[in-house]
Amino acid sequence: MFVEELKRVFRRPRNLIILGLIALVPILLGLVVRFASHGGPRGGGGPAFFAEITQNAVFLPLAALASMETLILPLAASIIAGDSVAGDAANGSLRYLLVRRVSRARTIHAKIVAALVYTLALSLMIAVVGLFAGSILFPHHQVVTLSGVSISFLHGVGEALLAALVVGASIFSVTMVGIAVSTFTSSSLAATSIAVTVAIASEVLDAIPQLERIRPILLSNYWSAFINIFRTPVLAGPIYKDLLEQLGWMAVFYLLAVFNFSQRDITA
Amino acid sequence: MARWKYRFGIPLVGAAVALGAASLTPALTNAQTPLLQPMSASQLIAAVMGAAPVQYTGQLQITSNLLGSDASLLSNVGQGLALPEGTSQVMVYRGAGANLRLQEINAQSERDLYVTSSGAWLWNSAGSSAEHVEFGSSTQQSSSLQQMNPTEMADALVGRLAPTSNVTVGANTYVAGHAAYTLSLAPRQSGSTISSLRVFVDAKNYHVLAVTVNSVYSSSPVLQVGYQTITFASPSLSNFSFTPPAGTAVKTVTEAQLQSMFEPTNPGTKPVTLGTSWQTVVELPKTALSQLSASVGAKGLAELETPVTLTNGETAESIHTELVNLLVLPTGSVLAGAVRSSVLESDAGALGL
Amino acid sequence: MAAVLEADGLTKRFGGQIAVDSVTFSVDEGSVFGFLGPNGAGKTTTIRIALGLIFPDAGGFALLGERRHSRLHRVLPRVGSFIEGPGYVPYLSARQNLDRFLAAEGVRRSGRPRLIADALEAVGLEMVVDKPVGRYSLGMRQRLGIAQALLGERDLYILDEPTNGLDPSGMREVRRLIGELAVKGKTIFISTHLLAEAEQICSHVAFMSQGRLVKAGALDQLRSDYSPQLKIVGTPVASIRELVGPTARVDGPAVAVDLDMNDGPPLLRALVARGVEVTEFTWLTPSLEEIFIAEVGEGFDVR
Repeated sequence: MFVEELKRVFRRPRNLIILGLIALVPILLGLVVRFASHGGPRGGGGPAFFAEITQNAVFLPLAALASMETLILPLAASIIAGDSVAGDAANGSLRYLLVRRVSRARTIHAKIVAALVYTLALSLMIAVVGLFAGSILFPHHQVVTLSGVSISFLHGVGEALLAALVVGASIFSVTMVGIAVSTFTSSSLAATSIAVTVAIASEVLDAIPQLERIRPILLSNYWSAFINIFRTPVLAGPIYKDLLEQLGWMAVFYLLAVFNFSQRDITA
Repeated sequence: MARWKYRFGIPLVGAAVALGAASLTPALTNAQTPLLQPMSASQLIAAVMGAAPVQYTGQLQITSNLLGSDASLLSNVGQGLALPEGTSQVMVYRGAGANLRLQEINAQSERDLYVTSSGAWLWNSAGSSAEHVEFGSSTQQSSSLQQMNPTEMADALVGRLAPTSNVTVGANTYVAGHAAYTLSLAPRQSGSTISSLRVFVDAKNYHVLAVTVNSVYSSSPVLQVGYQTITFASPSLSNFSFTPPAGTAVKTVTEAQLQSMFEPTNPGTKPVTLGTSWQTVVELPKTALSQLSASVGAKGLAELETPVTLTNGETAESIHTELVNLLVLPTGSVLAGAVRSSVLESDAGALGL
Repeated sequence: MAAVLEADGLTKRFGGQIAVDSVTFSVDEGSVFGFLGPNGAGKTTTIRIALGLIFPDAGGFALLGERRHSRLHRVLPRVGSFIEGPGYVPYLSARQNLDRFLAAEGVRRSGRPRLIADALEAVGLEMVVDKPVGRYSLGMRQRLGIAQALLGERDLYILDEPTNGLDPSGMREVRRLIGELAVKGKTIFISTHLLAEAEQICSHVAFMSQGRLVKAGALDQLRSDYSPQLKIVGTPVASIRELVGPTARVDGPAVAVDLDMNDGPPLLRALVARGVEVTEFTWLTPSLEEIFIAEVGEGFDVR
């Protein structure tokens, strides 16, 4: 069941195109920084690690992750999540799945796992493509962390992949919101739009100083936590907070998804 | 119809539990009061002074709320000041002997101070620059303070403070999960903007865990320096060693240069003080205003100023913050202190204005 | 015979509107049960309740003896169903779509190709198995939906409007498939608004109108409830009318009359004795449509 759901997600041409386009971003970013800028970017600004791209291959995927985490990744995850139940409801295959041996609970769980796997695939894709492009365009010697400590290139690659996992997991809340909304409607577009809106609203609220008190409960509050992997020693606190935040949001919307789906009338 | 309970009721309960956990967890730990061996203020001060050095790893949080409600309007102002408005995080690693590492955590960068017995490194990840200080062989740690008996010192200190301040041991609390005594200093005199100073002391090893400064203008502390987490164990030695990465611009500073950096440039001009103890006010020369104006920006400064009529009928500009008040006199000099504006105005009167 | 489907006071509202109103019926094993009524009569809602897709507000439903929704998935593998048109993932091929359904059923990977091939062959889609379903014609999609219902061996087939969108030969094909299943002793529950089609294949029928079950029973039993009609064609018509009496209904050269079967032979003898030239003397059984109109009334009141 879970394998079939993965096939459904990864065989869809549209989903593959999204993955492909996202894989292009680190390549373009690398090419632009390598050939179009003079003397490298200076003076801050831009996403995290942007200034360090030219120094080491490892920083290209990180800069790509940092620049895509705020909009492109949540959007891509929302598209798949919004489609997870609503898409099948709209094309009618949902009712034919549910009149078989599988319980509704198993169906929704398979869909949740498949959407989460796709979310992780998105961020890992950025990291892997970014590492390859970075290795071709930029030097790959020892990596200097934010604390000024040198680590081996392989160690740096490992930390970049770990950062990709953390970034992917940071989007899980958005994915889960998308799935939960998807259980209410036959319109994938509506579910996707609502999930993206929740993500953007969270980022907007996070930027308002007067709302500092509610920041800890916003799903995007710790999105930049993956940067702390590149300190020496790794500062795990913010990463744990990020994961805990995601777990909290996931738990609530997981309950909504599972209970709404298993108790509602399927009229589509 | 009962199904609606499951579809929305259970997720709603889940949301309530999650929100409750998010908001209550910090409140619950703060609300608890540990039962500790009662101590007098001088006993506590003596214990702090006599405490053996400890090794630890801690996350220090510095929160300043000096501008109060003006902060959001003047978010650009804080950046120019020496004490940043808002919150900053510093990881502190304290090892054996001189070993110390301070790691200032910024969103996308960090600054580090690595100290060992042989020298110190200051690293700034933005721009990849490092400064290096090599320590001489002379051990300069022999301070005369440590020769004295902590109990006598504490008694002397409390005796000196007694006429002007209430020194008390407040309700016990938890700081960063550790049971702590609260040492509270409050002015006996009126007119100070400081309502109290609180020092939170670990009940096991008498290490200071947090300090807060409370203002008469605000119910929450205006200045808060404290550990969010602290673990009393010796940190790994790798935390203290630093080798500048290849390609780093290293600037070497000698010990003598370092000392001269901390000496006042012209020790002759001592600032004039008015009042005593909690009511102490400093009269700053005319140059102070231009320095302030340069760091805050003339426009930002103008936004903070309020005109005040002095006893002699002339107009001065008052600048109010949650902790410090300033009075810019018509002569151009500035009165500053952690006192209410009325104290500044009467001091101005004493100066003949 | 055991009841395969049992509805017991089934009631369902959507918003304020009542879709199914205290419907009670049962379907015996081995029967071909026609669930008849106009669009919007509550047929599809009843079927969705039967399959556990919709929760009833009141009343109960037993599918193959299982009343509890949480245990429905134990009996569902014995049911093949076609509900309100085909459902498929458009970018997957017919083979991949059917494979997905079999996987949901827990059928082993090795056993799937054979079942898929059989089902697709039965509906004549074996040539296009690897084409994305999104590129199929309407009729082909309908056939794929029926293939989906035919996957594997089932005891009960629930078919909701299976011939919608099919051309006449496709409809004939579906009737043939249903006939084959009936011969094998399978129970078939078929909902349709095409009464002529139902008349050809059903052993039992139920009439639905505006959410209520108006009448249900074996088709032969329903017919026998109606007194047979005698149709007499002959000349002179006036003599026929005179003999038959005031209940006669004249339509051109033909005269129709409700009559007890036992009174037929004496009437014929009397007609001949009177010198009437009888060219036709036929007993008419009422058509399903006539019975339906008699029970439900004319016109499809779709709410």
